[in-house]
Amino acid sequence: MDRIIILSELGKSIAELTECSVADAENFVRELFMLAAERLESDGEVLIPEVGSFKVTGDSIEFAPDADLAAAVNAPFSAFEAVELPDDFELDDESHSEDESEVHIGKNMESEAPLLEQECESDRVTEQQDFTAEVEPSVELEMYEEPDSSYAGVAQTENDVESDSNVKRNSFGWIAWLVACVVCFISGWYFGSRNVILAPSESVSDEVCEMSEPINIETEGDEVELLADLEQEIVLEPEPEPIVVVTDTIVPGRFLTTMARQHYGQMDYWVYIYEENADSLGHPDRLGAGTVVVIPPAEKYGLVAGDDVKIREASRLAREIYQRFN
Amino acid sequence: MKSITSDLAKRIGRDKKATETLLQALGQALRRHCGELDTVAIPSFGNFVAVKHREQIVVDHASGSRLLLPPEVELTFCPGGKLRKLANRNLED
Repeated sequence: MDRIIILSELGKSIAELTECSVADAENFVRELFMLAAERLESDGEVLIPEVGSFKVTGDSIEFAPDADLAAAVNAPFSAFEAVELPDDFELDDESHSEDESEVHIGKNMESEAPLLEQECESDRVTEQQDFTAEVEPSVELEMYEEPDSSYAGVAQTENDVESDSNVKRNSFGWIAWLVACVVCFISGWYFGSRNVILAPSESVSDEVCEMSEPINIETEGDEVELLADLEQEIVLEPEPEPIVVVTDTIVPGRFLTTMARQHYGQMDYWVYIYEENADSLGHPDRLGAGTVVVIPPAEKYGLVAGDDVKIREASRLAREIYQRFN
Repeated sequence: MKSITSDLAKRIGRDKKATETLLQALGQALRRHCGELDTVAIPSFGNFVAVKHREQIVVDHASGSRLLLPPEVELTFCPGGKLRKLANRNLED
């Protein structure tokens, strides 16, 4: 994603599909588009099979891609159709990004959301940048809730390109992991000791009981009294509340960005939903209909709507996710 | 529009069938690269850019209905300097 494919790489791709050499493939592309440019100059229009038609209109070149090519490029989203929203569907206005647009028809509007426009110079090729990042270890889940919806859909992904440091995210992950280990160790030690002490059929001895003071048991009566005293001293900890896992399903009109907007108030945080489920998901633009994803709690990644730093981090993570599939 | 295949075949010294095969391969290469949202740069011609549009909400004020349009990837073309000059020259003419 976001790569610039130059002539040599295009030639390699064509050579792989045909029996010709890379040099011949490159020569073919050069001659093809040189001829196309000449046709545009002489006739004002040209049709390139499998690619599309070009036409000089005013001061611009109008391009209409070949139908099959356009459909193939849009393949991940071709299964979806427009969905009518219910009247009670409310948008969170604060979470709208600049790219998200609400198009109004039947009303005079001064401006609509502009499409992306690019100044391109085909003679200049930008260099690719390598981005590396560490991925947080995913948290194991204990319980699942049944998904609500019964539709199917495809995830949406982001293309923002910005670089930022990942020190904050890694530190938070390591600290959380360390705290969890310490808590597990203490709980295991405590409840392990408790079970040994409360077993009535077992004899209490210095080796088994981890009390600070040595215990000398002479009669059975003393043993019963000792156990009763120990029971009173031990304060039973309340059982920890079960971890509730929130899940969601990809359906028409409900993509990862939609889920992120609903759960976190920011569409850009879709990357964290993806990362939570990365082990079971493939390319973010090609997620199958009915895919159930786990929605991590916002506290896990420190997600706050409108947090510019976090949004930039999310954009960088989006880029890294796409890089994995290049 | 007049097809470019026969003239191209003469230029590259191949028969029409081989040229069509190459054109098909070019189409497949474009599908593959642009499908992954990469930009294909053709020297002295232009760039084929896959632009992804997020989902949009279309409000029809006449009926009051709101439609959620799904995301879409659109294949666009950005002409290079040479073609832009050609278009400007055409406008001046």
